[in-house]
Amino acid sequence: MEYEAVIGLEVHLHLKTKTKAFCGCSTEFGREPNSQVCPVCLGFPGALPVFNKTALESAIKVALAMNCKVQAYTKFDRKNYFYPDLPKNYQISQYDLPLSKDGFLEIESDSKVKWIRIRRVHMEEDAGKFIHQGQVTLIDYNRAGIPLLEIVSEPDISSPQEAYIYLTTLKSTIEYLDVSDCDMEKGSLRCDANISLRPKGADNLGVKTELKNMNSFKAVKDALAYEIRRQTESLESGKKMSQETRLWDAKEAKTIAMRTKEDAQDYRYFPDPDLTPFLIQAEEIERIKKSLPELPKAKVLRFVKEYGIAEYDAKILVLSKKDAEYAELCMRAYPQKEKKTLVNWLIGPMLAEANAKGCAVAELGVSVADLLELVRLVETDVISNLSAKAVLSEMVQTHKTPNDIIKEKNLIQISDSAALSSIIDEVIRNNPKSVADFKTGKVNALMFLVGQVMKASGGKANPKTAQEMLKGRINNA
Amino acid sequence: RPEYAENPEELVRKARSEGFGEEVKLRILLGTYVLRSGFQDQYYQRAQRIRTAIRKDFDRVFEEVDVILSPVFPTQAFKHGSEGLDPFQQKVADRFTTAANLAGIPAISIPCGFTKDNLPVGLQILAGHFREETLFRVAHAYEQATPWHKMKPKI
Repeated sequence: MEYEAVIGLEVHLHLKTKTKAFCGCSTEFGREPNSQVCPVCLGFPGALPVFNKTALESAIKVALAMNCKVQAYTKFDRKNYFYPDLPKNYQISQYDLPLSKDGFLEIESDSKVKWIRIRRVHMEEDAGKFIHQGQVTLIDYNRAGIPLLEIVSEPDISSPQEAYIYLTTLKSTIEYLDVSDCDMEKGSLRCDANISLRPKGADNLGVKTELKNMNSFKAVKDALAYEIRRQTESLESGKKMSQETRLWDAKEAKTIAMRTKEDAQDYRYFPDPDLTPFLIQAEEIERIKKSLPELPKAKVLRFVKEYGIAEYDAKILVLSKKDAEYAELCMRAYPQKEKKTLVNWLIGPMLAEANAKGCAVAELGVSVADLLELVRLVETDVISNLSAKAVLSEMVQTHKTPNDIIKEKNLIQISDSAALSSIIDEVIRNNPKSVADFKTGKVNALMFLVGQVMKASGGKANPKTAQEMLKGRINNA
Repeated sequence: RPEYAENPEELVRKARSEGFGEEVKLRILLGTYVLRSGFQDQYYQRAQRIRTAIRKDFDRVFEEVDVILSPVFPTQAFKHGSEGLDPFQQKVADRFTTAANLAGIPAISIPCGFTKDNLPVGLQILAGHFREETLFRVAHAYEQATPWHKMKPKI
């Protein structure tokens, strides 16, 4: 029997506000434990919450970017349960009247466009953080009260790879809004998955398994792949599936069942009496909608239309907002109509330098003018492509201009036939076998000879010129 | 905080059992009971609807009057300990003062004299939503016209 996977993802996102969701404590990361707390976020008797307006704005931005319908009337509810990281013994969250619902995220899977429906995006607060130290567990409440957004997808995802793409697309979109760091390592993005298997083509949903403790996008993909294997085996051996929660063990690369709770948790949701329900005006939603930056998908379409570049290339250029802006400045300033050469520099050597340094292309310290100058120098044969790559590395390291570096390192290409003449003759003299091979029609032999000319000239010979000269001299000899 | 607990659940259970008084425990249990999944409609939601009806009642009345006066307590102050009112009786005796909480209206209590046993009596004044100004003016006028707020009972 063939089975298909039905996957839904729940993402929790830290909003990058200056202060917490319901009090004035700072949200700065990495500070001394329990130094950013107050009676409100510690749940002291008598403390009252006041909602952070920026958090609401950021939440609406995300909801709109997820194509959700922002509700005019919304409220906060208390989610009641006992756990040491929850100071008030309830989490301020949203239950039946969430901020927004019924949206979608467009992803590209298998070269096809797919819409993953978003069930809801709602607001809540984070709990404290456990720090395990051997026999003891310490709790840092700096994180308690930080505004969170919960983004719940419908179970429209059908494979671990699709789940991965959903997450990277989500991250890329939200990074553009500049409301969250979306960093799973830093804990500003968390993801839980729900997966069930059903006979291929069936309508009904199988018994779902909840997966937790995945610390990276790759872990989500791996955990889901593992679960599909495990559940398939289980189903095929006739075992009955029961709803459970499993933790991903990254070290052992498997999921393990959590100790089952006796009863399902009853959170006794009720509207938080300390926080009034509120109305969101349509004008406000419009205003925020207009203030949204151009999102990746729209930018790709516009780059293709305005600059005539390939969609594949555009998609790489828009991966990061800063880099997309840098790329656009370059393309605008580039004199040629055909931008391919410039784009190749951006998605090739520039991106490689950025990845090596672990920063964005825009943060390399290479000005638009300098990059364009470098490209021009190559296009006008002043230096070879190979030299240019070395010049770029030097530019990144020293922030010197390309012309300065070329002068310093004496990299100007030798295109003058008179200058190359003696080298050409020497190479032909020293490689009689290759010359003979070329004469019998072996094209590779010519390339080898060109390589020898490059070597003899310290990489400065213009390969095109060298090739022509070699061909000429050998054929005329 | 208890001296010793085996695990977090026990820590919380012991602390709350030992630390909360009877009345607090009663109210927590009652609240938990009415919020239970499957019972919310029957108890919590229904109570909320009744509360809205009470609020609307007051809205209607305040269209015709500025303030409502009542005693704060239905009897004179009760004796301390077992000779006085039991917890249930005490709750029933709150009937004048719970109105403001349920309807969400402003209220104030000010001294208005003494019983023949020389025990102080409180006067409650209620006003409509956001009518604190009216409330304070009426209370102030009464205070200006009477000596009660300057007197203390002899203990």
